[in-house]
Amino acid sequence: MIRAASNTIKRSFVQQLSHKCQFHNSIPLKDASFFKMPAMSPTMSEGGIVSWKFKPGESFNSGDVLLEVETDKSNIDVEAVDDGKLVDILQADGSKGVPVGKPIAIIAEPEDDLATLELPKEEAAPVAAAAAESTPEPVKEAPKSTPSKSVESSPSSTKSVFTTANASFKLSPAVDLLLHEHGISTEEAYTKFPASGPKGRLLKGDVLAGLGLIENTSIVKITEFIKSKEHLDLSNIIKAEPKKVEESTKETKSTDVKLEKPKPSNILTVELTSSLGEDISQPKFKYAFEKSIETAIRQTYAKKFPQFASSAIGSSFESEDLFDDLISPSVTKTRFEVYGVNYEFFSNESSISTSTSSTSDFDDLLGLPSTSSLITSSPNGSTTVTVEFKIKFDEKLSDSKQFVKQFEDSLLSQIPANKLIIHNI
Amino acid sequence: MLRTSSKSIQSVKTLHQFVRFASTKYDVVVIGGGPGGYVAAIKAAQLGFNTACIEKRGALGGTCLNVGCIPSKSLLNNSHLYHTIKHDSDHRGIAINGDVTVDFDKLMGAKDKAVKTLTGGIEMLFKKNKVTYIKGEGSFIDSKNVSVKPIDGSEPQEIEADHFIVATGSEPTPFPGIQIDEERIVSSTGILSLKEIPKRLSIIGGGIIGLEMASVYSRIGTEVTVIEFQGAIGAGMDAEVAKTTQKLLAKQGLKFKLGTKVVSGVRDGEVVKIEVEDVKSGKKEDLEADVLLVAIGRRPYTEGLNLEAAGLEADNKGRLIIDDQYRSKHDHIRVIGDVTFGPMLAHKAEEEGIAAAEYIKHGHGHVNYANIPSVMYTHPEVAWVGLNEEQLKEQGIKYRVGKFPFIANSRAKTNLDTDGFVKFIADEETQRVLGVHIIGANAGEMIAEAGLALEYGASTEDIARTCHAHPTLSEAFKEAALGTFDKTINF
Repeated sequence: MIRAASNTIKRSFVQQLSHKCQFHNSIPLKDASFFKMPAMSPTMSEGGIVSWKFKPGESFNSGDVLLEVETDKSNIDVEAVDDGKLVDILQADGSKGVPVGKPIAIIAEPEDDLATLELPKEEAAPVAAAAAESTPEPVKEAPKSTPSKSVESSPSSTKSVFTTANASFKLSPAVDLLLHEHGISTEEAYTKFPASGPKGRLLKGDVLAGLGLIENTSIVKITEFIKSKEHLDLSNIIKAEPKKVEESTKETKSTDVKLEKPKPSNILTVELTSSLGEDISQPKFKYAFEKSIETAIRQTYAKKFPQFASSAIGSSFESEDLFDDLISPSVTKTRFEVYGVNYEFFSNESSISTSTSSTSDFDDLLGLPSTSSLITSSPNGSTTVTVEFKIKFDEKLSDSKQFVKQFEDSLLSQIPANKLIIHNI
Repeated sequence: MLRTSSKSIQSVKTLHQFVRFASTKYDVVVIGGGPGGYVAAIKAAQLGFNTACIEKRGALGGTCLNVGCIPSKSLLNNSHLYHTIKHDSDHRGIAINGDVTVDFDKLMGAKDKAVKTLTGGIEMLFKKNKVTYIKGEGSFIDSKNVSVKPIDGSEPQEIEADHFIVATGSEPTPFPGIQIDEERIVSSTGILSLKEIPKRLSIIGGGIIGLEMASVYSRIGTEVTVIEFQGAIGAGMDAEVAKTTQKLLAKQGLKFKLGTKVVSGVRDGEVVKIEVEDVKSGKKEDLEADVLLVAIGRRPYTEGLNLEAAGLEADNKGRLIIDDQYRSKHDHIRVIGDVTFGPMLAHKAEEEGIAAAEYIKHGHGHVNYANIPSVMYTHPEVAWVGLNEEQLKEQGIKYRVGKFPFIANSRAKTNLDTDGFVKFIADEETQRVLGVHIIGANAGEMIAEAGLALEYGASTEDIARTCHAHPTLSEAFKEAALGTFDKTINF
């Protein structure tokens, strides 16, 4: 491919076109793709465009010279190996210092209609493309000039499987030994050899290719195949025939109705009334009441299972507790749950004020007095409170009812109640 | 009354949970409490979302924990112990004086206990991570709301969420024309809780579930026949591995009918009559069994979910359609696990659960589908990860195989358990590990090392140059890696 006689070297962009074809085979992506500044020599990091040999809209055949590129050493003709069409020129004649991998044109299949063509997006473009070149020699400077992260962030990075080697990864034993055998230092390896491993890990194959012992194309092939398996194959999805929607919704509706009928027998609503002394503010009462529920639950379980005297069911587990619990599994199952606690405060003078604790938050509870959502009780006169809450118990366990009874007793022993109503909803 | 000790802080947290129990708006609601769903819920909660998980089974852990991976492993392990004691102890110098028998009720009891402890463990994890556990059937009202019918029959509640993760899993695929009664004709669920040891067990399907159950019952005295339509067992295994596995299992007494089609299966009193047909010759044959297990695969499960109301779409196999970030038609409804695409494996669903929660939080997640191990817990176990020879041939990729038999491994020899081998497949030129296939005791544990190698793009030389303890089975792993580019030392 390199004409030895002349100073002008013709290079093809086999890689880029063949990659484009692969795109079409696997995922239908953009119809058009970028044509990027090729690396014409191992040391080339940027180049200039001497002249384009085609105009936008013109088709070219394989073997045509597309453009002439200027490098630090020579002017080189870039040749097409596949048929195609030039859609747009992004870097015009005379552009200087165009980094390797930067899009310089947009190309498409010869039969593509330019009017309807979806153009590739700019951010998908920059790739450390130089490495994908079929150069048998190592690419020395090109990877340096392009940031490695561009490859990872780019969704269509399969254009090149190579990226700048990530020097923060320790070299694997095989790579280490191989470098040693060839008298290459670690630092040199990171800068000299582009990497095909995950997140820029330098693999044994990369060093072998870098040393010219195997072809770069071998790495490209296997890496692309591995990468193609890394994602769920969501192509060719055949949608199910649309179901008769009316029927199915009707069905669910009718079962809904059926299921709503049986009344739950395992939920109790408890309502108790208590009077607050003058020194007890409403927030304080709420906090105390909730604490009492907690204590009552703990006492209830502790009665049957002494080990629960200290750690309550449903409390947040410290990780050590959890670990202990896992290695010696708990003998208890949750028998009941208390929820939906609702307070109604009545003061002698002021009107009824209601507040639910549902907005409460850990911090709010700790900083009790300052909580804004709470109602200040009237300074004079006593206040009565009605607390309502629900107890749901596990009816599958025979002793659940006993537990609930136990819990009620325990709770009432802590809160002096004037009136207590329990009903089954 | 305002103690600020750590205990009181704990109790305030508890209260917070109680209070939240009554609230109905969440940041994230996960539908399904299986390996995908519960992991997604915990991860979402850990990422700071107010999270609820809806499960209608009455126990967390899904198919895997309740009627799948976990109970079957209990039966496999204990039946293997029994078989070892009974048939494999004399030459080890252990004399059994008296009968060694199976107490089938206790065998089942041990399994139930394992299941119970583990499902309870997840509930505890929910509490620890402040995930609200809603026991009921979730059904979409629209794309933002679900109605939950509690399993205790109480009033349905409506729940609103900013994000949903659908993880409703899968169920056994029925065999057309065969009526499953879970007594004589059973699915993978029924086979785990038979009342007595059947004399004859026929199994339709020579995949992982079929072969594991075949092993369990064969070990405790059942005459087992495996009927498989394909010409090989172990769907998806490397062909060489499948062949060797079949030989090893046949040696244990399993009968195989490969390339055989089931025409019909009917219960007739206390027996099941099965008519089969040779796929090639068309020759028909009548079989009789006490129990017939239908294990031909699993299919996505969405019953009661009312996916139409949320506008979710399924493909022709019932899998919910997603994009590469698990999003359904709606960005805020993600779908993971068996109910969508990819292999139906608990660990795959778990990975997706984590990824889905991370996508919600950060906009990115990670699951490497090229690196999902498969394990069959027969004895010897079979485990594999990555590519097999057939896939590479198809792709025209040149590869090298390195194999090391356990018969040449010192630990396997001392264990008197030498069946199987480790097989490495590496790229011919770069020696990058492409796939690892293991038959052998402990293959399921050993495959983890292969997964790590794949994840980091290791070459087989990297593994061969990594020190492995002696004497261990894992030395066979190292030697097989060496075998792809050099001569093995001990074989």
